[in-house]
Formats: sequence, structure tokens, C-alpha cells
Amino acid sequence: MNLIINGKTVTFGDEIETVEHLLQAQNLHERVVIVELNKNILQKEEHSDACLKDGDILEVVSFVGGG
Amino acid sequence: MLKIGQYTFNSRLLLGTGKFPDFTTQRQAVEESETEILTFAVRRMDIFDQNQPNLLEALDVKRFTLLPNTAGAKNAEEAVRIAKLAKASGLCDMVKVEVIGCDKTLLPDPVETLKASEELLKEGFTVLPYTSDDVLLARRLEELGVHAIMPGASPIGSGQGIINPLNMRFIIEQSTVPVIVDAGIGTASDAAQAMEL
Repeated sequence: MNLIINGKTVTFGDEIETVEHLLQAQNLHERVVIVELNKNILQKEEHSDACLKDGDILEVVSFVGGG
Repeated sequence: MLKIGQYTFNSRLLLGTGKFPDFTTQRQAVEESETEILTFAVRRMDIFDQNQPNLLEALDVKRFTLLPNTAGAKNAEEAVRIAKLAKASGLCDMVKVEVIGCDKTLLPDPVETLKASEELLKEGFTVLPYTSDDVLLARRLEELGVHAIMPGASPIGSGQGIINPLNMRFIIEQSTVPVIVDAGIGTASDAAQAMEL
């Protein structure tokens, strides 16, 4: 399955079925990470129900220093 | 006491989270400052770099009210999206609306700032717009219902201090919400002048 994450195409195996799986696979599930799936901003509690399919477009953002 | 929307603070100091050399220094600065409000920005992350430091993870964020900004937005739509992304973290509902209209001067776009503020107020955010020192614009923002006004003393990063203290005084005099002088403060004396206006 190909996903477009932050503008880059990335290939994942079939075991990555949801956004939560994706974050777990990248060891990000316990970090402050916000995900937008196909222009739909997900609340954290929606990650486990957000199913992924080939061609999905994700934005993954976090907090950085700023003023 | 500082009251912004539903929030009440003992400290009037908002602390930025950029430009610290390391997290230890930052953590110490946050502690020593006794600030209750931390500002930060929202950015794309590299999901393959698991060692990326995250400033919020170095702090006990529950002790602070977090104020994300919408830096990077060039129009109202982008600002609203960034604000919603920040809110989806579940850590904050306050936002500093920052819509930069000019790459050279980094001055805020007044029309898009108004639009974004209006939309975010409808969405239930606590809204603090970064704006120019235009007195009428500040009034229009307050009429919309924003919870604080953040007029720039001078362009971002210029360090020129308060270039139009008369305008700033007019904004402070007319406002019934907190006025937080933002951007262009170059020295401690600039900050002191802002507080004396």
C-alpha cells in the first residue's frame, strides 16, 4: 500500500490498516502527533478507527518551538 | 491577574519556545520565568526520525496553558486549518492567529487575520490575533469578540521596539480585552515601555 505522507510517497505492508497502526509502527503513538487524513483532521481517539487505503494522503504534524 | 477568555493567570508573561540552545536550558528558563503560558508552532514532522526531540515532551505540559500560533499561514483558510490541527492534539483550544501577508516585512495581513479570527471564534477557540498597530483594526477585532489583541511593536525579528507608541497607547486605551504587545521587542527596556503605555 502506498501512502502519501507529508508530500512523499511511502510504501507500507498490509499489516498497517489504520492510522493507529501507522503511528505504532513508527513508534509515535505515545507522542504528541496530529494526523490529517485526506484533508480530514483526526482527533486522537479517531486514530484507531481511521482505516488506510492505497493512495491516501496524510499530513502528520507536531509542535515545534515558536513565539 | 491576567484574564484571557475563560483563563485566568497569575503571571502576565508569555514565553516563546524557539531559539533555546537545548531542552535543558529551555526547561530551566521555563521554570525560572514562572510563566503559565507557552507559545509554539505547528509543523510537519519526519515520521521516520524517531529521535526528533519534541519540546512539549520535555515539559510537564499540564502545568501550562499552551498557545499555538498559526505561523506559516498566508491566508485565513490556512490559519484556520493550522489552528484546528493544534486543537486536535487535545492539549489546547487557545490560538494566536498569525497570517503573514508579506514575506519581506513579515507584516500581518489584516483582512485575512479578521477572517480567520471570525471563523475561529465561531468554532469556539480562544482567539488572540497577532495584528499590526492599526487602531481601527484592533477595534474591529475586538468587536468580533477576540479574547486578546496582539499588536506588533515593529516587524517580527526587527528588534526595533515600539515604533508607534501613540498608536499602541490608543489601542490599549480603547480595549476591554488584554493587549499583548508582540513582535519587534528588542530589549528589556522595550518591554518595560510597553508595560508603561
